[in-house]
Formats: sequence, C-alpha cells, structure tokens
Amino acid sequence: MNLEKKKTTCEDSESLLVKKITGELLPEEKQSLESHLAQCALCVAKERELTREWQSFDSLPALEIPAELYEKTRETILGHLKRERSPLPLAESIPRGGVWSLLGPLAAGVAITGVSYALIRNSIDLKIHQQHILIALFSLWGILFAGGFWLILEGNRKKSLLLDAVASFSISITLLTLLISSLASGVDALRWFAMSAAYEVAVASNYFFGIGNTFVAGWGIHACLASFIGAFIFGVRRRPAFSQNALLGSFLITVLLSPAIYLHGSSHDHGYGILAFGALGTFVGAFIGVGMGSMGSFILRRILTPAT
Amino acid sequence: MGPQFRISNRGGLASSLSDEELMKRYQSGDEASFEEIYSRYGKKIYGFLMRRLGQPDDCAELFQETFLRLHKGRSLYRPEMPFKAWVYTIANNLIRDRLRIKARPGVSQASEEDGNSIEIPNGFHQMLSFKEALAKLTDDQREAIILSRFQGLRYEEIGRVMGRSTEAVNQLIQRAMHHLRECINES
Repeated sequence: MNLEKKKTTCEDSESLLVKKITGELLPEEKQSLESHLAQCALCVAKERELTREWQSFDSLPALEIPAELYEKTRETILGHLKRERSPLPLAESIPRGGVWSLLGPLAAGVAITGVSYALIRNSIDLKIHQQHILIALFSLWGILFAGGFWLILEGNRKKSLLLDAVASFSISITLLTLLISSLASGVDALRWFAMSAAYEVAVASNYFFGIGNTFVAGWGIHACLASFIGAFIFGVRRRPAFSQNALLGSFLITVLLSPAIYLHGSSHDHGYGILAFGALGTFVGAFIGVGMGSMGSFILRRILTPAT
Repeated sequence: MGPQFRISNRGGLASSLSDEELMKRYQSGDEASFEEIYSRYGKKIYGFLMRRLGQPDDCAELFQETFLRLHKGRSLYRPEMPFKAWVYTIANNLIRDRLRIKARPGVSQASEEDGNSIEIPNGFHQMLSFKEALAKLTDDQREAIILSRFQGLRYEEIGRVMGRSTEAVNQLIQRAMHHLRECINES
C-alpha cells in the first residue's frame, strides 16, 4: 500500500487515530492523517474522544504483587540456580524449608545413631555397661547429631561463631563415632579400613607413651584425626577468622565424648587415663586442622581469585 | 504504600544491560542477571495476570509457573526474539490454558466480584461498569488492549505474543476501542 499516494478518508482515519494514541503511527501515516484532520472536524472530535477513552485507563488502580509471593518465587528460582551450580546437586535438593528443616536433621541424627548402635552392639557387654547408661549415651548422640545436622543444613546461609563451633563439632563427632563404631564391629575389613594409617601411628604412640594397648591408643588417634578433618573442612570453607571457631568446636569433643571413651576404657581396664589421651589427641588434631585448613583456604583464594 | 521488595545489584552492571544480554548471562547461571530480569518483569507479569484473570489465587499460581517455565526453558531462548515478547508469551499461554480449562462444562467459575483487577474509572459514565465493558470484548481484543495499554508492548511484540500479524493487532485494538466507546455511549 502506497500511503503517500493514498489520501486518508474518514473511513480509515479511525485505524490511524488508534495507532496514533498507541504510539504506533508511522511518519508517512502521520503526515496523511494530519492532512485529513486539518479539514475534517468530525475526525478531530473522534480523536478527542479516543484520546479521552485511552487516558481513562490511567485511573485504574495499580495492581501490586503480594510481597510474600514475590519473595517466594524469587527464592525458588535462586534455589534452582544454586542446585544447578552445586557440585553435589543431590545434596542441594534436600528439602530444607518448613517442616523439613526439623524432620530432615532429626531423621539424619536418628539414622547416624542407629548405624552407630548397629555396628557397636556386638561388642557391648550388658554386664559391664548398664542398659540405662547405653540409652542415655545413644540418646545424647542422637540429639547431638540431629542438632549438628540442623546447623550444617540451616547454617549455610548464616555465619556466626556459634554456628561454626557447633557445626565443626558435629562433623568431627560424626566422623569419630563412625570410625569407633567400625572398629568395634569386629569386622576385620572395616577394622582395617578404619584403622589404616592411624593404626600404625597408634603402635608408635603406644611405644612412646606406653598407655594401654594399640587398640586403646587408636582411640586417641581417631579423636585426633576426626578433629583434624572437622577443623580442616571448616578452615577451608570459611575465612581464617571463622576457622578459629573450629578449634573451639573440636575441643568440645573431648568433653562430650568422655562417656563413650570412658565406657570403652573401663571395659578394658584402662580407667581415666584414656580420657587424658583422648583430650590431648583431640586438641592437637583440631589445632593442626585449623592451621592447615586456614592455609588451604588462603592458597585456594590466591589461586582462584584473579588479581585485580 | 506497596510492599517492600529486596532488589539486588541496583546500579550494578546488570542494571545497565539489555533484557537480551541479561538473558544470555542468566542462561549460563548468573544469579544477578536473573535478579535484574525479575525486578524488571516480576510486577509487570503479575499485573498482566491480574488484569486478564482477576483471581488472586490463579494469578499467584500462574505467576510462579511463568517464572519456573522461564527458568527451565531459558536454554531455548534465542536473542533474535525480544525477551519481553518471550516472557509475555509464556504468561499468555498459561492464561489461555487456564481460561480453556475454566470454560469446560462442569468447571466452577469463581465469582466475577471476587476479582479486584478492574474498577470503574473516573471519566466513564457512572452507570457503566468498566469491567462489564471489557467483558463484552472478545478474548483476543481484551488480550491485545491489555498488552498494549497496561503492559506497554508494541504492536510487533503483541503480535509475537498472540501469534498474529502487526496489522491484525492493530485491528483488534481498533475494534476493542470501538466496542468500549459504544458501551459508553449506550449507557
């Protein structure tokens, strides 16, 4: 259609007028329409009417999105993005909102306690270890694990001294308990796996410290290793200042593991001496772990962060 | 006063990029680009849904679904298509599906009065409910006029959203305006 050659008539002016008020009028159409309006009072009146009609829409109320819906949708998409980027997308897909924030850690805590008990039960002598003591001990573990998992899962978004301390403690105690449970299960393969290099070190420490047999020395070594691993993980993951909290958390293991260490020590007639050894191992392990974790964190940042 | 929203990266790099550039970054998983796109279109898409459906519950559901589909289908987006048209197409398809389901016999219709999307505007005859006038339009006319007047889309963009030509969009809006004017005059 050649608009320059075609004159605008009253019939087709309405289409152009609508285009004009919606801001869609082409330059050549504008010229043609203006020529027509200059000589047609009827179409000028129509333009006024259309403009008024169009402007009337302005008085409609603005529709505000509910803040809760806006935030919820935003969080959902950001959660998807986070899972996509995660090296462990399955771990990121664990539901953490609402009732799951309570049930998830509780289930994990009960599961770890159950696994520990299943592994350790064959070596429990009920004549020595009273049932009520065992119930109290495993209940304590269950609560500690559940609390630890809750802090690990929920604490991802927050950074505080308390969260770091308890989370590092939780990691350490979980590792330690699993290692001890493996040892106590009496399965040779597991025992070998759990001890591995630690067993060799235990032999050496027994030789130097002369405390109990190599198996007992292994307890101290594992306390040391578990604290080291827990502190190392947090040393790498967090800033050095935060990794200091891991020292505190790992050191707490000594206090909270005391019943378990004592139970085993008393059954092998080692008394309280093993407590001191476990405490020393835990403290040394945590100390080395924090140092190496912080160093690892520093080196990683230097490698991964481009120079500015 | 409207609700307060958390908007990130204000004044940052993302806010200076075009929609299409942001989508490219979002495709590779950039959070800041998603946040910028969301802050640009979140409220607009909700407004569009409310004006078309009028039911807050439906709108909330379709609002979330729109952005989930945008997220899951972002790898399919090609920068040749204007982003604005693409996101409105997603929302519009969802609206059409929902209206189709509601139009089936046996599906209960929510009361028109429940909707709070359209009020009688000043300048219209007192006896005329603007909602009623809009209701007299065909669905396509209503869709076109909402996209043009409230969402600020160009005819070409509306054409992409509706799967129509630019000229067809012009005619739809023209007829919609004509019908609205007739309703006002009749009342």
